[in-house]
Amino acid sequence: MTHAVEIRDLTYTYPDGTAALSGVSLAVEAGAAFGILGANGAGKSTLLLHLNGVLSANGAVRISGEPITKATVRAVRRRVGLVFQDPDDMLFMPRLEDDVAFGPRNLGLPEEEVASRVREALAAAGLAGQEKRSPHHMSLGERRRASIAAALALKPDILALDEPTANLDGRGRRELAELLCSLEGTKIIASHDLAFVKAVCSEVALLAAGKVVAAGPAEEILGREGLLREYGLI
Amino acid sequence: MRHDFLDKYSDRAGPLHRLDARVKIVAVAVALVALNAFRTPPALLGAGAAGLLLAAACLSRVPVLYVFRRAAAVLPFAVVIGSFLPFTQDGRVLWSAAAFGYVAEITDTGLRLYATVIVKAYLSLAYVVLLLATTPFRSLLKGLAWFRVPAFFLSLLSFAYRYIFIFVDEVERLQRAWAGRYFGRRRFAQFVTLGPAVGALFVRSYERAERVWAAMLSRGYDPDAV
Repeated sequence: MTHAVEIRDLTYTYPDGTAALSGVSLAVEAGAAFGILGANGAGKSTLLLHLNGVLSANGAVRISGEPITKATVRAVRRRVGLVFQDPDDMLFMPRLEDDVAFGPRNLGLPEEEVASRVREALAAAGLAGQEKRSPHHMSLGERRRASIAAALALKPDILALDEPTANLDGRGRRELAELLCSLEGTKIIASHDLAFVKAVCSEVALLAAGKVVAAGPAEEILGREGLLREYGLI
Repeated sequence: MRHDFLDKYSDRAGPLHRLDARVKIVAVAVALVALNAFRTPPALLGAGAAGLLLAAACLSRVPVLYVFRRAAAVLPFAVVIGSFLPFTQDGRVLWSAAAFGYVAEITDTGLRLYATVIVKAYLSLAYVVLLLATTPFRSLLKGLAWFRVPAFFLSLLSFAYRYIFIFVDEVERLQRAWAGRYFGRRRFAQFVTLGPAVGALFVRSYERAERVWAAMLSRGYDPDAV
């Protein structure tokens, strides 16, 4: 069986010489909710940027069995929706509907199709009827859901979220967890919010200093207090 | 979050707001060309243009003072950049100084030119402020698109509009963080801390630009398609 995401021995060093990932290998089953746990600076964000080829990996990352290369990167970006940690990085249009339509329009879809995708994505993210609002007038929780809608509008097979609960209050977290559980498809969630990962994910991998130090069912890994303490998660 | 500047009044329902954005764009373009093309004495020109602007502002339900105060932002630039002008014209010498064999002379025509430049710059911006205060930004972009302004330039404008709010937020956060730890040192010392603060702002903006670019690529943006 092919995995939704398969990473084999992925190493990445930033241009300034910082080693972000060294020899990461992991596999995510199709339809799973997969958590990538790790303290600040463990390499979570860098790993996510490899999932759709924003950072190139020379074939170390496979999406549904197909390696990401220059030739496949466009197709891969349709299938992997990335939600950035800071919604302001994704929302840059005067109106919400234009932000959500940005991806579908880049795909060259006809306007009716774009409009229906915008409607569906906003409804799925709990923002139905807010098309005309401008993102800089929205609360952080709303902007976070808006950025998820922006990724959903591409109808990705895999949704990857970077620290989705960062700076969210209790209700924001709960609503986001409910939203993610209600979405179908493969989900990859990078976070250090243990309660949130526990509520949403079935499998997790623990990342530390650019290496996978533990992986397995969420119940098991999240139960190992000594391990979590050692790698700065509690 | 602060979002009450630039187009603070653009969603009101005054008569100028109801006007088509394209009409306003043409009107402002004509006003700017006329204002800057005529070589009339500054007092006359200024009075005429200011009168017209005042009438338009009163009509528009935008606080008149707001328009004139916002436009004052251009004054420091106009005053500094134009400051060599009084020395460049032939005319009646009002003041002169000599040093190292050079003579600097301020003439009456030079001063008049300087004043004209400042007045023109100020009123030009005032017209643009009025345009922004009576037109939602989106309509403005649509209007410009109708005049075949290149899409690339429009997306540049749209980005500038979006991120200026975030930039101002970031400036405010830095300012507060700084004010919270500033215990009344001497004026001069403030400039020493201002340098790194401006540097930090630059780095933050640069990193933000990289993240926004990555987010755009992630959603299928094709840089070659522009």
